[in-house]
Amino acid sequence: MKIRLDGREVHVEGRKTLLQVAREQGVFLPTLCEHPRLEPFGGCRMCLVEIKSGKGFAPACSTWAEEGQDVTTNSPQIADLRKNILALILCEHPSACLICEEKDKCDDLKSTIRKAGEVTGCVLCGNNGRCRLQDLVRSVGFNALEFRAVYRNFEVRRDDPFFDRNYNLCILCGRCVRICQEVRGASVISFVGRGLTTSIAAPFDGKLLDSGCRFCGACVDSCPTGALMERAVRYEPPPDRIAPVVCPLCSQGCKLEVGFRGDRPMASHPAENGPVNRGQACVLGRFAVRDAVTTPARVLEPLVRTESGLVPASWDEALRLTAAKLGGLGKGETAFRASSQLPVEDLYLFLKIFRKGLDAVAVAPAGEGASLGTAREAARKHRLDLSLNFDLGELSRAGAFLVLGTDLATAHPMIWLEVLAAVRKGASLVVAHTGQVTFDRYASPCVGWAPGGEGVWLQALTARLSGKPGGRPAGEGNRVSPADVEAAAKALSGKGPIIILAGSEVFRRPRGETNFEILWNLALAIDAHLVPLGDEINERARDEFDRAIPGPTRGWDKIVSGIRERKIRALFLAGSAPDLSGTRPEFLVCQTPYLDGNALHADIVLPSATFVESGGTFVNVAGRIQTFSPGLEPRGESRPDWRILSELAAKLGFRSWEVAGPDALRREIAGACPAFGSSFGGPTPARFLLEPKAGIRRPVPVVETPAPPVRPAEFPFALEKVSGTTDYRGFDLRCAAGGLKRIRDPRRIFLNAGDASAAGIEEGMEIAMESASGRASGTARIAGGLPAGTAEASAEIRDSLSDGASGPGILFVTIRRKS
Amino acid sequence: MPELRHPNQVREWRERIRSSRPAYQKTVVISSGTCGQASGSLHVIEAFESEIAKRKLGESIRIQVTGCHGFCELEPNILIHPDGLFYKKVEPDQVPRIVEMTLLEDRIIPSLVAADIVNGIKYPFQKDIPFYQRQKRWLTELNFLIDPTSIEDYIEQDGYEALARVLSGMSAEDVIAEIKASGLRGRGGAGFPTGMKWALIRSSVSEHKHIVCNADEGDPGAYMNRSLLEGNPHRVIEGMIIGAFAIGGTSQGFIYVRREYPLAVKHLTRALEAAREAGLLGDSILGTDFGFDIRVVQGAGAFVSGEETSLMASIEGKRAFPRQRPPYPSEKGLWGRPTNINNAETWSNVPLIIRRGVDWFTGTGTAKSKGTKIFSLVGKVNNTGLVEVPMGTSLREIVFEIGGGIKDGKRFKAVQTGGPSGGCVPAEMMDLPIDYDTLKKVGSIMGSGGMIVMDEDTCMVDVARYFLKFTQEESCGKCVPCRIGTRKMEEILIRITEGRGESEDLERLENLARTIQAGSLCGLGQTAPNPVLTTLRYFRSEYEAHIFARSCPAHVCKNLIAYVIDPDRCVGCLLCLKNCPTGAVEGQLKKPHSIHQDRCVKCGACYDVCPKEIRAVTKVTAREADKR
Repeated sequence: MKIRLDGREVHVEGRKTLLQVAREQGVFLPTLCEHPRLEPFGGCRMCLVEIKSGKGFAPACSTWAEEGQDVTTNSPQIADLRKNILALILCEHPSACLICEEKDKCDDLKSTIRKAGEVTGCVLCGNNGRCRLQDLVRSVGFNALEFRAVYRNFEVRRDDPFFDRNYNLCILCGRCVRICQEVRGASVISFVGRGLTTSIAAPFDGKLLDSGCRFCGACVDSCPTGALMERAVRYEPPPDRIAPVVCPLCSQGCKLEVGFRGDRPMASHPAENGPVNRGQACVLGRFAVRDAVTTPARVLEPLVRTESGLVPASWDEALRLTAAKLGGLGKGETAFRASSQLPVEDLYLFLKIFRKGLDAVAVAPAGEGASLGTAREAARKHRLDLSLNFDLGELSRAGAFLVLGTDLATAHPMIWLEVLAAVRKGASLVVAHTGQVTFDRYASPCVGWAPGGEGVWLQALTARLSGKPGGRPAGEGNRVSPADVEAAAKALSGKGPIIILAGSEVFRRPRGETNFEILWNLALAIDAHLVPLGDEINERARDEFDRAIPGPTRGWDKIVSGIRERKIRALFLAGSAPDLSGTRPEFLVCQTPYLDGNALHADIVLPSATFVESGGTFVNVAGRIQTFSPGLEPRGESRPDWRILSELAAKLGFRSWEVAGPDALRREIAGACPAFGSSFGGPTPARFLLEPKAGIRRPVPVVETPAPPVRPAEFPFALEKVSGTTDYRGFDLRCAAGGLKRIRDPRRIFLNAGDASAAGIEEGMEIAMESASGRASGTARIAGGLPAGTAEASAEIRDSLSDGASGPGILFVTIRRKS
Repeated sequence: MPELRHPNQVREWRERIRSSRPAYQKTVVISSGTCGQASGSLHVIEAFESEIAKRKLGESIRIQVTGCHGFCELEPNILIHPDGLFYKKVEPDQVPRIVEMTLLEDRIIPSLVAADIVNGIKYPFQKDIPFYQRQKRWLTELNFLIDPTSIEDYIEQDGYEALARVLSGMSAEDVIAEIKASGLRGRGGAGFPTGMKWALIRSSVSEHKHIVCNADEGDPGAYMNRSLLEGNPHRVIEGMIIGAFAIGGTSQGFIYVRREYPLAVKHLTRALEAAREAGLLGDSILGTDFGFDIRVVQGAGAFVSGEETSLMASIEGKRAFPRQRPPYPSEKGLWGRPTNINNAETWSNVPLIIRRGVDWFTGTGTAKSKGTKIFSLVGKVNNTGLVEVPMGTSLREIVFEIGGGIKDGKRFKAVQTGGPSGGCVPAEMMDLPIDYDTLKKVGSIMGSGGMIVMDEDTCMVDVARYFLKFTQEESCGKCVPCRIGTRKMEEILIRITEGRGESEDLERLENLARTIQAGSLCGLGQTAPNPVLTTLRYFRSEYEAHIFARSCPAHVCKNLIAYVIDPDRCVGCLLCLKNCPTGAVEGQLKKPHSIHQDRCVKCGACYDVCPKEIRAVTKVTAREADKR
């Protein structure tokens, strides 16, 4: 279609707003409430344009281009109108600094922000210099306060973690409200009041903490003013340098931009061009990265145990001692644990040294980490064409989702955003999970299946959808509600394309492989795309490396018994492990950024750099490969893991395994591991792992449907681990970022409302739990979304009830209120 | 109640109802809308019921409780049929006497007869009262005749006959053609041709469409829709069913009514239930394969909810924020589906047009505005109430002939039409025939029909300030020009009325008004400056007097006036002296008093207590007081 834009004839393709057209044509239009990921709002009225033939002025952001329109974006009247509207905005916003005669001098002379309780002007505002409103004033022009200024005198809300809300600075563009609703699906804040007292608030004007807020920070990032300010950097000037990193804290691999002043990391923001996250992040990526780097828990020099405890040593000494001990041990006498959160390069070198060089035993990833491997193994066994790669953008075009065994919004936040986008466009969403499901309000139905009962449930759904009876019939005996199965089947019928997102719960159960087979058959029956989701970053890479450098892997229980029997004499830890104080091996090395937990008991502590300082490659749950350079010199004497390992290799006598850097490692990986071939070796690096198309698509026989385990009468509750990790390489980030502890208090025990009232338990009560092998206590929280008979607690609590290493089985406990 | 399974059965039912009504000798009709109830009609009803029961007259006398009769000034009023005797302001303790004298002995009680305030002429019969005589009560007629909670009453008065006619052979196109030909225009304010709107939505391709009745009616002092919903809910429902049939593809309608109208909600809900039971709503209306139902949605009383896009947001369960149009509701309305929104008065017109025909309808009104319009006539007029007049009736007729002129013989100054979004029409334009287009021409709007009469004691700057205060408080807060701009205008107006006006203020007001009109998102903001612009247009000198002479010609703005005592009229009765809260009045018995201006807080107590026949205390402008 053709329109006229400022007298020029412009060709417009597809459905576009006038704002989009203007931008394409390089015509600047001022905007405040507009946001690329949000639906047009039309509240700030800054982008008003004049449409001849139309009714006067219209906002370009919410007016669609139509054939033959004659649009003027700038005329004396429009300029006047914009200036007047801006003047109105500014009389409600502390703007004295904008018209101050000494403004220019002030900018030159004042390099820091004065700490002030009340912000009365730009120089007292934490957003000074990065404020959209300031930019806009500059572009539209404004030089006098025509109207009486109003200070609305809202109380500044400082009662939540991470950021303050000062609505005296708010211009009510609604971006925070809309991003919380439209993009994040949380809807925890809303416009309240009307007229002059219109404001933004959490329910009942309370704390965000009580509102269901996930503290993803999307509101803060979308705020065009300083109304929402991250507390940690509030009184800091803008960073002088920004470095992109990939966040390894969950499975998604969000691209973040970390700001620095000198060598001090500041806030981390989600990158707009992040292929996974597109300008979004979660609480970890947005608010925990800085603390992960700067926490006092960092270990900044190598430590060696002497009679007087752990004492600083030189790198040379620490590595020499390590090499001497490990080099002297025989096959299988060393065990090692390498965190998936290590960059791919470092992970590879780790496996190479320990498996090829030292014949060591790998410690199997605990619990969740095993999920993807189970699916992959099952697929390989049956030679199935299971593709694990997917593009997140594909999700938002789906017609229906079956989300199984995961709290998507917590475990895979960016995948959730794409699912939500599809649901908002009309896709149906069926969720089945043992634990709490965040945003269960979007799912219909949202089924709480009995722990271990997922196989029967899936079998029943498959039977219903394929029309072929099979498995155990739905019914009371199998704890499968026929109504749930029917509702799920209805929601999935006639909607395409269907995507099955299968989380770790499905595969980590004792019969995970069978579950996979059932799911495979279900996907075939309804022509759905089956996507097994691993819970950790680099799980896909680890799987590839395990095949490239094979070696024995043992679960924690085996390792622990090995240590007790002195078959395993040395343990090299670069990742999380249960507390080893009771079963300390003969020689314990911890390669970690943090002096914490097991490192305190180690013989040697090798301080590694965090991901911000080391750079490297991460492969996310969808197989996407992202590499970044170090953003910062390693703090103190800490070193990137590859460098520590390279020198250890040299000291062990593997001279040829010394590497110059990650580049060299990537070249080596390209040769050793075909999945990375085209990414690390090719001229134009591929962005995804390579998946050979080999398998076939046909149903597989399911030997036996695993029945839900029988609940022992004396332990009536199944205890699950609450979703959402705060672990970085074995260190609990809650210890570094206090706000995380407030959001995800490790003492919380979640209970179904019915179970709680039956036990006389109320929200906030101290409760005690007991299992066959331990006791624990915590604070009761009533969770609506939990199925009856299931409770959720942190890994700490669960571990203390399950004999240290919590296996993949189902843990049964009693729960009672503390007297 | 029968379940009707064929259009013909409506007529059969009506005939059955008519033939089965017992022949009463007398019928007492009690006006009991919200205003009637507020004036005590429920006690009157109770009194009549107990009196009739006591005297065992139930066989011969019928008590009929109806909606509002419109003459608010004389509520609670009753009608006694067959003669149509009209009794005003009936008190419960007068009831036994009414029963005794009027119902049994056919004697008129003179003290209860309405009289013309100006000339004292008494009008015992309703048909003779000028307030009613000059009206053309098409839509409000049944408010005299039916019990709104009884579907039989409505059926008896040809109710649902139009629907029966539509469903016995008319095509949707026929219906739309009728409405188009009638020239009916939306009574919500903008006056968009109803038939054209229907045709537009009929032609839009969508699996689902919706129909909405806008009965939010947020204008202060306006209650046209309330009266229709309270007094005759079935006609609105019938209109909507016909509309649904004409538009097609719609199975769900909504009536959006404010929660502050509990009686309307109650009557509507009961009417919907009855209509459903009678087979007039539901899957198979009158046995045809046309199905439609209506849900009542209650608003929380935000003015902006009357704006159609915010109304839809509210129905969807969201905050009542308006959104940019286009797309209009006819393209993307409720849940993104084409939606037809008309207000209650518009819907009420539909069955009448179908039943009585286009010619009948177009015979009344002006060239471009057909039919009648209900106005709520309030303010400084003798006969306040709800009046229904043909389009094109002049202001003079409404204010002086129907309204009985200005209270206390004061001078007529202006009328505000269209509520806070409208403007004022000065007395000079008294002979203006009122319709959509003439009102627009003079800078005001028809709006939904609010009509506030102002007399010489009304300060136009103060009136403008009042309306701006209202729109400012009711601004939803979404767009900047409306939220902040109206507040800024109000600030300037406050300043002017307090005598602190600046010489540039008028220019500032006009500049702000332009910004708000051009820049606001929805109709609420776009029309908010109208009261200021029209008063500036017609009463600029009053603004100038406030600003430059620091004087309020109408003696309203406190800071600009003084109370003085005319020594020639004062008889020294000490009344004002005793009532003055600050001891500002000085004087002795039987000697002229005076007011100490330094101590006076201008509360007006002296002015109010000074006997009418003396009128020694007067208001003067501050400047005049200085001169003395």
